[in-house]
Amino acid sequence: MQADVGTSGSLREFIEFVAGMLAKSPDEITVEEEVDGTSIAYRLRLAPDDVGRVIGREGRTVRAIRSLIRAAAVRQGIRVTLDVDDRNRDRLPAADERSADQAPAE
Amino acid sequence: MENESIEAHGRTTDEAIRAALEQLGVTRDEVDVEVLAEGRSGVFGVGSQEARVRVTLIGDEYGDEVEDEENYSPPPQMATEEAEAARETLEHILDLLEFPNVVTVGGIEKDRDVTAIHLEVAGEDVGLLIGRHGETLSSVQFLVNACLSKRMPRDMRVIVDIEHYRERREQSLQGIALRTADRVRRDNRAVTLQPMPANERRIIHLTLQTSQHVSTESTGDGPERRVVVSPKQGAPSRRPSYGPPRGGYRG
Repeated sequence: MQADVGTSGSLREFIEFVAGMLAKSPDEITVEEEVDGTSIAYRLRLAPDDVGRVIGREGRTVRAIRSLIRAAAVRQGIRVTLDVDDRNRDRLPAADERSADQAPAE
Repeated sequence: MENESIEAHGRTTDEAIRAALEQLGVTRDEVDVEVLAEGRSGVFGVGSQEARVRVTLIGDEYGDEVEDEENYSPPPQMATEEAEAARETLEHILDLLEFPNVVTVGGIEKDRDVTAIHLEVAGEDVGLLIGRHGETLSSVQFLVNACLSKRMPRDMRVIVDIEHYRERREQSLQGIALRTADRVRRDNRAVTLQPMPANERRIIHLTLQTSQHVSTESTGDGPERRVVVSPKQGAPSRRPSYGPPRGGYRG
């Protein structure tokens, strides 16, 4: 099965919806998606204070989000990844590496 | 006294419940609802199936005496509204994940201080949302609760089941518990079960709680935590006092 625009749009909405329910500043949420063949990489950006809310204790919340988008991806025959980041990160100096521990890999 | 109970059907679970309420002449908060069959409407294009529910009146016939009881706590008035909000949230999540789905409120129950809203999911390919050992199902439940936590009273929890997985798993765990207990008794030797999540270990503990011959205990950490079923020391005592502690297991 091939990825299609409708598919990715809906998973993106899912990420936006869940993040919006968890965040204190839902207005500051953005979701970028990068499509590469049948793979989609999502990047969720949030207000700095909300990063922890979406990642959850010991990463449990973001793990749950990933597990659901993966289940949906299996059904649609695509691959997906999700990174969570502070929306201000790009404004920080490139030398600043603190973002590395903000979206722990599984 | 047996509480009055009737069965009703309709195109959807909601319709079936409404029909039952009309027949009994009561409102939603005066009954317990058990979904016997999920309705499938034409949404899926496939053949539709009627929803069937069993509706049972709660409390005594007149429902006025309970208020005199000392420990009477009013039924969770908000619960039906909260349940509907939870149902809609889960439905929305599944829609966005593009799983054709039907979510119904399986029931609302109060256990000690916690009000549990049970949601049942049926639909196409929803087995993918159960996952290995129900791990994906746990994620679904965790996320629904996380999403609702700011909007729901603290003592309320949403329990999600998909295609009756939890129900079936509970039965099979009870079978495992009883068969293991037989083996432990026969061989007079402890048996360690496979690692299980907390809710599954709890079912093993509860199933064997009253056993005269075996006792249970959890060992190990994190995902490796498992139940050990051991022979009870000595003959069944005249003091049944070494039963499990009251108030449930931390398992």
